[in-house]
Amino acid sequence: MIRRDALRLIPLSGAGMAGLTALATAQDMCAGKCQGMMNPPGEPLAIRYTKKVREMLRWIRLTQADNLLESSYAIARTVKNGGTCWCSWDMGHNTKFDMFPGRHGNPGIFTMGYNVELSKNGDLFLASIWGGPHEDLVKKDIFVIGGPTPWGSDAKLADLIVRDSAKVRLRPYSDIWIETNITTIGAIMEVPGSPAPIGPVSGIIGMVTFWMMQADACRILARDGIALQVEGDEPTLPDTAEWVDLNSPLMDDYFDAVMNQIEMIGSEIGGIREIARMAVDSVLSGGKVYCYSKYRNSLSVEGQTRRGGLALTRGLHRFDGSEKDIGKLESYGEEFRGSKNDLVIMGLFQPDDPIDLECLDLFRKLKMKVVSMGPMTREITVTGERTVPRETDVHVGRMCDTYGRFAIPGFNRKVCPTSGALLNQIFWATCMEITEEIIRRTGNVPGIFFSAAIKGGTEHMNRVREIAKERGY
Amino acid sequence: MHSRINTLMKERGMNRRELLALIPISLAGYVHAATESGCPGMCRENVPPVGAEPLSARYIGKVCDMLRWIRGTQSENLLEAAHVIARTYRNGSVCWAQWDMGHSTTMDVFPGRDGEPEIFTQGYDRTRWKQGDLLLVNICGDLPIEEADQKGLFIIGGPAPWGGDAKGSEDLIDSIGKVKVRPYADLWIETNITTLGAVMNVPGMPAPFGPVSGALGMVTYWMMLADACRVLAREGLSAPVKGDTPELMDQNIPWACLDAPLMDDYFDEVIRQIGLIGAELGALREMARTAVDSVLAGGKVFVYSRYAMGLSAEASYRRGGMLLTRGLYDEKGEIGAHFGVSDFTGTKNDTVIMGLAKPDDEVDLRHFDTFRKRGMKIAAIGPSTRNLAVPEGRTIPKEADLYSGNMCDTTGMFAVKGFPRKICPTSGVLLNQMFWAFSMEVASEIIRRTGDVPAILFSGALKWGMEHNRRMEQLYARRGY
Repeated sequence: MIRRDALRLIPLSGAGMAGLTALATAQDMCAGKCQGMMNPPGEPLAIRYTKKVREMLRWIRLTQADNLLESSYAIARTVKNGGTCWCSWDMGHNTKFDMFPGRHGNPGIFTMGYNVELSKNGDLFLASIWGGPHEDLVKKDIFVIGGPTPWGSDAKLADLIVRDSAKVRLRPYSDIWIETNITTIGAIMEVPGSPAPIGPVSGIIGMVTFWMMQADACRILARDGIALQVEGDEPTLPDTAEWVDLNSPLMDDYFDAVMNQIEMIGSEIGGIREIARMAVDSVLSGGKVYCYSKYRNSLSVEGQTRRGGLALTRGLHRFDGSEKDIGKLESYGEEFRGSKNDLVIMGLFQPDDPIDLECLDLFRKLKMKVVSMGPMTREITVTGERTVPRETDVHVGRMCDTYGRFAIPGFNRKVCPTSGALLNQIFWATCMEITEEIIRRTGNVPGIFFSAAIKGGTEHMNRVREIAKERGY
Repeated sequence: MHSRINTLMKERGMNRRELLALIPISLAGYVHAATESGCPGMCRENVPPVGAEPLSARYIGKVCDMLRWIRGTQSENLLEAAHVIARTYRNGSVCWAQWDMGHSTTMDVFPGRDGEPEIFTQGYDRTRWKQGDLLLVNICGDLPIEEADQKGLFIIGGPAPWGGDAKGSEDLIDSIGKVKVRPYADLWIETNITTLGAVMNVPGMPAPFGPVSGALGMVTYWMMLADACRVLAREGLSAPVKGDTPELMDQNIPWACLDAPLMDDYFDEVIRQIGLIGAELGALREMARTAVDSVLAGGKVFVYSRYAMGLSAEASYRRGGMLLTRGLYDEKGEIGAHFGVSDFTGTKNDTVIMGLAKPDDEVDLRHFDTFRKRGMKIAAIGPSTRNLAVPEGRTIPKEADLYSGNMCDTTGMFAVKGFPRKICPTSGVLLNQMFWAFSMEVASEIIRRTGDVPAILFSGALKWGMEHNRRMEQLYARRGY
């Protein structure tokens, strides 16, 4: 057998690291479920990855719905009482992937981060990744909704953690706990030849749970006569909008929609493969693969030195971590030049953002190959004269929309978008295809990062970086 | 179908009793009802190893799977219902309940029921209905659901075999099939129940065996109440709790956390306890042998509970139940009887199964003495403990010939701050499941000894139900089972 055959034939287990992750797929995590995830050999890695993600999400929906809804009640209660809802919830390689200024469908309930100076009794903190000080939560009687994250010791396989910043736990401080079954490894797909598994899941899990909770928090507030202003430029909802029923939970509707949309990634796998081929062309001809998003905290950082991610992708953004426009494109300390050998993957949250279009013009001027992923519609309609999806070489993302999903009576715009979760999944499906394409063409496995928080993770990271410098992937 | 079974039996040299053990059991006993939409995936996992498990264990496994499906897909609706119940109670409005708990809506809620918070008013009174009230309903009967909706009651609905919302409603007689709750429900608790209502196929019997509406109804009812109480307690409110257990003192009590849901804890505990029925299967089998001895000797099998709508009703002319069990209950100090018992005397040929909600109920003990005096064989199922301790003095489990029920307790599960007693007992669900596990063993024993299948009833609401049931009555009259 050659390596490419082997890759398809290996049944994939829940976590990647052979010896260390035996436990991850065993008994307590998701016993029976993992067997159910075995797929027929020959299915593309991208499809297998998205299937596994859906299985993990399904497990959460099956076992945590009551905790998620109770969280919604606590969030709504806090808002009603005038408290602040703080948020430091893992959404991938940071906590703000899907929360940035002007985010369509954001009802403005959460204040991102946690400010010790400003927090007070009666506030709420939604937290999975946070360095502390934890005693502040106790002192002020903050209502904590907690969950595990790979960069923390509440996740399974916490014994692998060596970094001090990941040795912290939130569970002892939590009033409600949202279990996700995530491990400190964080990624779920094994690739023969790589000790580090590919395909992180904390982003998708974090975003889906985040919006599920918010959907019902909004519903509860609306039922109690409280309306919120929703961010974005969606026109104010007309009286004839399809208003949701305020008596029944919404989180299951959000969940079902996301699951359907993730499955629809399969219907655009041709586009994803084309992007992968272009990326590998770039890499093998000495070029680079950039992952662009307007904000650093979105796709840019997801594509940069990510546990379970490829060493060959690098982030690119226009707004820095504090969401300030720096006036030029930045790529984590490297000067961005851009050439015809390079490919840029543009991650979108709306099809016609002026900054995105400005950056697209620059990429074109530099003769780069440009592809895009994310919503191409507003209200399921392609609008505007110029949009990024129309002008890029390949676009994937027809399954999701710019706006939120739910028209809540009293709220001026729809809440709870799915585009962040889908952008995340399209991106990782693409990385899976890039991996397969590299193996097909070169026989080699591209460098994949371990978490730097676990034993041997930093050493592995440095090795993978050096390999990528030498051969480009 | 039958000819295929006969051919298979001939080919393999099997008799009916062997075939029974070999039939893989599907979730719904009824072809139309066994649709993919019911519980995809779950059914396939449930197929037991061929010939390995007794019918009772397979039944219990199926019930647990149905409960797991509800817990997995309806938790948010159940918790939302709990919040609405708490809000209604807090506002001083009335929470009405007409919720299927088996062959009645009050199997597990009766006067003095240990661990029942006094939040629901059972039944309905349309003259007292007012806007802001809540109605938990899945079985309407003559309840005017449209009027409840028009009056502004918040309706939490669900399907029941005796109504047009359950799967297979096209097979109901028109007057029942057209009664639907769902169009009026503000919140819906799906359970996947069918109009057949029972889940086990027995070769030779078109009516499926082993009803499930009781277990599903009771578990969902207590799950909702557990969190309704928690929500009220978090807001500093309380409700009286029925029962005669001493009130909780504020010392050394593992109070429930008021921030996180309780319904999953209730669910997990019930599943564990149902699992423990298997640990007492020997006793249930012995009861089954005793019952079959009675039947074959011309005696009867009576099923007693203190209240008419308790286990007594569950055992009387029940869809998915055997015709051979007959219900008895307390009627102002005397022994009353349900349909099919014209004149209860009780003889040494008879067996009585006593269904208990507590081990030392004085009314139960009085009737126990009557049964003893008449020379009947007495078996008991239900809790033997109060707060996990066997009471001093007389108890029925101590004195009965056979007993099963050590897995559950008289009192409720949760000590909720502000509530005087622990709330949400599991004994009703367990009593129900033990009874049906016992019934499965009785059927298996009859088949083993006689080669015949006992008479099992269809729902009278099905188009063909009453005809089948009359035929079963003839069968029963001739042979006693």
